[in-house]
Amino acid sequence: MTQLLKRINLDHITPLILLGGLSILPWIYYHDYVVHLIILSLMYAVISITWTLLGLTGAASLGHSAYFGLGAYFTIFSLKYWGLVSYLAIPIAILVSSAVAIMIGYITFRFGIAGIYFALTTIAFAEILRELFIYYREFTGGSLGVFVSPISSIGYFFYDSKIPYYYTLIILLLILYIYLMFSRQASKFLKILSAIGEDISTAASIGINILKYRLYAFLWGAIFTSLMGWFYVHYLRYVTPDVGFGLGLSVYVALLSIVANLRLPYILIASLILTPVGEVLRAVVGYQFAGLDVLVYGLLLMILVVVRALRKR
Amino acid sequence: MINNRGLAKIGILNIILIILVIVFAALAGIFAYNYYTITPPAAITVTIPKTIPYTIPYTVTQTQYITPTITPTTPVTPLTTPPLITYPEIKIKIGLLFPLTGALAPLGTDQFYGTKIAIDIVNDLFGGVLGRYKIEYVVADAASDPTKAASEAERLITVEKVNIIVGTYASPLLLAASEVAERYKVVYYEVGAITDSATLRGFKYLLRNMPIGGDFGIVSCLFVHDVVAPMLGKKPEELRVAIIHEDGPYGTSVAKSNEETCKKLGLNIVLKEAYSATTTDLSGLIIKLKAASPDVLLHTGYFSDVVLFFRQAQELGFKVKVIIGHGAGYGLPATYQALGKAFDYVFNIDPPSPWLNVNAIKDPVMRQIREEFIKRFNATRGYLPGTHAYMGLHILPLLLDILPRAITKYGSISSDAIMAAAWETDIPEGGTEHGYGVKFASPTNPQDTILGQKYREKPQLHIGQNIRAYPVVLQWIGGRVIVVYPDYLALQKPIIPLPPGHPLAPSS
Amino acid sequence: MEIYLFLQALLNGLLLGGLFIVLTIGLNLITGVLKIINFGHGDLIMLAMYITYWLYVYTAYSPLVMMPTTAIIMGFVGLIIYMLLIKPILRASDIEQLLGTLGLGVFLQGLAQVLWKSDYRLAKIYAGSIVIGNIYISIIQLIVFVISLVASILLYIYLMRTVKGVIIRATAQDPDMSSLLGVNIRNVHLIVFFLSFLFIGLTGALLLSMFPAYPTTGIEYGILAWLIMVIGGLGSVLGSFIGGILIGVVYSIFATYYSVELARALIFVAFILTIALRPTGLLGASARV
Repeated sequence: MTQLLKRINLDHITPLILLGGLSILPWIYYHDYVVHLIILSLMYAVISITWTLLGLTGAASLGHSAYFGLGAYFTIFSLKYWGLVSYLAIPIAILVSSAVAIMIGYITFRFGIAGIYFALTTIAFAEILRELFIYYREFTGGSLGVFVSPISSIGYFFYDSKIPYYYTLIILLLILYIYLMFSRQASKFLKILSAIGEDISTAASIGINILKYRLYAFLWGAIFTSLMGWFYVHYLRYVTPDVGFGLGLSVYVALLSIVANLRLPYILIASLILTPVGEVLRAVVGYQFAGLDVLVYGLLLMILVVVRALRKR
Repeated sequence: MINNRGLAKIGILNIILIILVIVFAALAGIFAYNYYTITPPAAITVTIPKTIPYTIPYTVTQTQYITPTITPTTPVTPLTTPPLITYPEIKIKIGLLFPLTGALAPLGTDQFYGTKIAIDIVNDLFGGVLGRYKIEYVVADAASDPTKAASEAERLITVEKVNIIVGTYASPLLLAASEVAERYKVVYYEVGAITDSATLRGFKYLLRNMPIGGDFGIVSCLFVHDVVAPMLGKKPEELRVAIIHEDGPYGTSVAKSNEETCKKLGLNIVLKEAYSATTTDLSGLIIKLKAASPDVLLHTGYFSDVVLFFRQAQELGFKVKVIIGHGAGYGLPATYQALGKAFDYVFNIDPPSPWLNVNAIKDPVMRQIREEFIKRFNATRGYLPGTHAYMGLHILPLLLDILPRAITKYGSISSDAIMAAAWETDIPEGGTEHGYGVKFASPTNPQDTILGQKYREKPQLHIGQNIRAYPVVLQWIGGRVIVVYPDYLALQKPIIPLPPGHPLAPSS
Repeated sequence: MEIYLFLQALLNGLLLGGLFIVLTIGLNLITGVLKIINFGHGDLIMLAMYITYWLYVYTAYSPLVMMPTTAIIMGFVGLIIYMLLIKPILRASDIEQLLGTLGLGVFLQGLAQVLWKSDYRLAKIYAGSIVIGNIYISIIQLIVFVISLVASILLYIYLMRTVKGVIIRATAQDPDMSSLLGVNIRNVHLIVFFLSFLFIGLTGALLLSMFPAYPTTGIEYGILAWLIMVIGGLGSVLGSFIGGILIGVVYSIFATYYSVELARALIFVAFILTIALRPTGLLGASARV
């Protein structure tokens, strides 16, 4: 018995238990707002988890919102202008963001741009995309953004109730976690990524193709982030260049990952705690002290970083 | 901490730096003052053409506002069968959703306070809706971000359980939050956002009492065509018009309708350019403007960019005869405080401000509300309300007309009852503090605004829009933004062009 | 007529470059020289603007006159920030420093929002210009340009020609070696921080005479400062001077002849090109300062 318990890694099980609990939750106690908060948390968790893959290699992308925005916008284009079904929009969104990710990834990794410069480059790309989407307003709706009217029919992912969205994310996360935590291939992949992150020269010297693995990790991130863009469009049905390409999202998913120490299982927990806390804080504060939530968020960031640094000593 | 030698070194070095800087600053300060004196124009005899472009086909009569006594109505297929004789047990709870933080907050806050004070006035002066239902309200911060606005709408509806959400000042926030409200079938009442598209989505629970962006463009071009051109002694085709705008949703939608309408009226558009509202430099744009030498400038911008524009326009020697702004920064008292005389005689297209011809408000109760509002706003914020704050009074038809009808005729304030009551609202000209009447386009009869029906190329089919709302032309005179057009709402005649002595006027 | 347009655009670009330079100086000292990633720079400028504003309200002196006062106040703020926030994270990874300083920036935004609400705060606006023929030179922007020039020159002399400057640069290049040689690293850091925040204070006061202060105004300034610094070369005073002027001129000419909107995107493109083709910036690692 103890043998068995030793073999089960608590880290790997925790997110599954959590997700299991979440899937039962609506049956015990259903509240719209709570479900909404959880949906948001799960969405951010997905983005953050796949962000971490690239983060493990030491390349922190702060322009991930670019893929979110691209996924969202191209989903809307598919639905509104090209008359496609929701599910056909997925491959389009994925294709576009993969193309962009490969382009950015290749340029930056090939030329050895890493660390802070990489982060800055990704921010710059996201900003350029944002400006472009504002400028070509005849196609993209400009800074007002685009909204999509829900169509309730089989091919579309629009529902009045939150439940389908809720379970979609849970299932997605389950699949992600099971694959990443339990498959041999994935754990090898993760080990290589960590190796690159820890000591890039040694990793290169033993024959790991840095460029290839970084691109893979980057692609993972881009694909799932644009998938979340697709999801966002179906859930909230409205996107603007600021929402889609803004710095806030990029920073937040990076934050979640770092809070979790870049450990995948903890990212889910981090998101489930921090996202609702942020929302509730803003609601509770009242208009006399509007802005207190922003203040606390900043304070938290600072304390977090300082504490981490002190603990490392 | 710091050892003594280090301290000394910091000290000496930096004292030297500081002295140098002080010397330079003093020298700079001497050169950097600039005073303007504008000689007020001698009495200008102004002739405005006889035909007022938009004729309102309603005669101004006594209003139909429901005063706080109840009179039984003859039943006309209400939702519940017998007419009311007893008052139902109802709690009215309104959620106020405005951007109180973030980039949109500086302008949204004024509107929030305006709406809040309007509700307070109804509670205090009238004792609440129908004189007996005090309105409870909850404040939510839309944080200038559509996702957060949607979350707050969720919270207001599911946690606070409000009956109605009132907001939102900014178009993206409106689009995001009303989407949520529509899903829950909760009434959303907009008082300040202008995007045409909001009421074109076919939403059944959305009401907007505010002119739309498309009409802003129509009014300013009409004004240029019918009033400015004759007063400048030119034919409309001879006038050179430049359009500049910030590239956000607000600026873009207004500028678009500017372009369409002005082209339709035959005006000559010599330049149309956008810029980012957070830009630190507009000199390139201004040089382009100088090269285009327009007679009339149509500008849509927020506060910082308007201030920046005026400053750099003066510095670069840009001259123009008429400046017409379209809301946002142009309606803000703070802009006048910042720019002073350089902002005098500038026009603004907006819903009316408190400074209109009070006689156009037919109902004395409404006039009293206006005065009370000005007093209270000044006491709360420390300055007189401008157009944004006054938009808060857009909520009054909801509190004094729709809700009473919903309660007395339909017996409840469920969303369907409120909407049924709203479709029946029929307040004529002069019935509100803004001078215009109220009639919401209903789902059974979607229609364009009155202005749009007359002047828009392709009529838009709105649902929930107050089709009788229209923006007017105001002008900054003596530090207040005053309605100058149309005639019956005007406090005084418009002054065209910018008088000599004004920093941007051609002859100076 | 055409030539005047071009000259005017050129001049505007030059003056705009002065603004860019002044935004960047403070950042360049911390991030360029000390290699401490600072993503809260813009919001620190915002803080300086607010401080200047309140000084203006209570003393009625124009922001320009307030420059030294704000500078000194910000200098001490810088020392506090160093001791509380920066010192612990000196050895942390770049991304962590980024997030930490970003947290500082966000904290300041929230603070400004809560304390001073979101109303626009404006001091006196100076709108004068010197007219030479057909060319208009904005006075306030000229002042900014001259200050940026003077500041850059002084800083250059300080870092290149004085003993203290050499020590600072040595510490930046190789902290361990320097401390072995007896340099008190912490003191060097403190001095640089104090200097940098002096410049931030200066910038804030200058900006307040042109732009309003409101909680989110720092975001744009921070972005611009980072772009110019990277393009000019981290740690290089001369680089950020030349970079600032160059970007200012290119921006102005592009805006005048083509589109104001896209001109901003152009800066980002230049930024990416710099990182891709010459990551050390115009005058980066090869010529250290």
